[in-house]
Amino acid sequence: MNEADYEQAVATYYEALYAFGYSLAGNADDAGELTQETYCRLLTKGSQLRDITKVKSWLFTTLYRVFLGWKERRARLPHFEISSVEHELPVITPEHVDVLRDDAIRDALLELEEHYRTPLMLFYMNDHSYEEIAKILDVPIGTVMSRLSRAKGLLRERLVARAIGIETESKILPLERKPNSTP
Amino acid sequence: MNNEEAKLILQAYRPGGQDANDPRFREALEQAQRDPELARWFANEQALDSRISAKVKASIATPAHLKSQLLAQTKIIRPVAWWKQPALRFALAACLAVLVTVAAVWLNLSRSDGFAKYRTTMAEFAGNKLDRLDLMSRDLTEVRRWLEQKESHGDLVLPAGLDGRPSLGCRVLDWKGHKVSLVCFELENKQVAHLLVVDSSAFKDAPTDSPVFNQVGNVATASWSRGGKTYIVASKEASQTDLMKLL
Repeated sequence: MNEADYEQAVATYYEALYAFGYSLAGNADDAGELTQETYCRLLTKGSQLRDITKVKSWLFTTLYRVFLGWKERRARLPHFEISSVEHELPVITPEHVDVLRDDAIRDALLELEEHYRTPLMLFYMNDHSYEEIAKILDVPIGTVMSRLSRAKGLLRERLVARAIGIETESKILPLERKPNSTP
Repeated sequence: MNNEEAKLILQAYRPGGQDANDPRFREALEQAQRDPELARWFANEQALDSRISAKVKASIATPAHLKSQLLAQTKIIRPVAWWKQPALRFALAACLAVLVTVAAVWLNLSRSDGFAKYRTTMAEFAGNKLDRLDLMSRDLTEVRRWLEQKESHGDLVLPAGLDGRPSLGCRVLDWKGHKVSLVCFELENKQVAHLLVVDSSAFKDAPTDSPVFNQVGNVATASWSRGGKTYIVASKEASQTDLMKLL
């Protein structure tokens, strides 16, 4: 990989890679380090990349493997079959989402277990297809679909709870702030 | 395909419409066109995904310095050259074994402990051959701590012009049994400066506390000693005038 290709790869993907690193590690420092290490490997091992159009997939796969290496995790993640997916998602409307702050949604996503959080983050943050997600995470396509489904359900449960909390707050606070009112 | 199966598949359909031509979604999309209830569910799903995606993206701010730091990595980490490809490594290793033997004999004959030799070797290495850092970090405190753990030069004294500049990372080298701490700094315009620190006892002719400027090939250097340590600042991109401003 020449310098121009490298600079193009940085300009195109570094923000999405950082966000993916953030979703895995949960903090800015580790996200930055994961991103650096990934691009470091692109410089030193980029020659393994025969097709430059595959650089996006290569970068995300590499970052994920670096993260797994950090955790020294050896046990395989559990696979969920399609039949085990919960089809009934919590009822939430786009308007519920609108009232939530950006970081409240991010925090709700970060609360999810890693094997749900990771594919969902790739789906939401980095615009990856289910096939790309399967390749990056090295899991079957059916597993990606079932994890996306379950992850969305878990995320929405948390978002509903937060949205209800805001609604309740907005109804109570004005009353409490009224002068001369008694509780 | 029933509606539950269609929903499972459509949950993987990206809100941006990039998957419109993916055959895996075709049947589920056609079913949504036929079934008003499924169509409503799908529209709500897409609206939700679109909003959540936008909010998640907005919530994670990329550090302002990250891009310049990643681009600066090209100055200190060289891409793997064609001759380092795995297929040729074995053949190269055999040739190297012969060359190393010859070089060892030659080096033994021309061995010199002088500072000039050290400066030339280190400037050439830092400027043109540095292929990796052992620690990548912009935090100099972390760099110092790491160097201390390696029993190297965590207590190095920075020249005024490097103090406060972001580091890129560090590495520990060896010079005839003496540890050499190499710390890389990011300058303006993607320039990189390398600070090399070694105990002054490594040389009989270590420089004094007055900086000496030398050009080693395409690498500008400044050298001085302070507190029992000998320092070199080397940079391929910066001129000697630039180095003077760093001291």
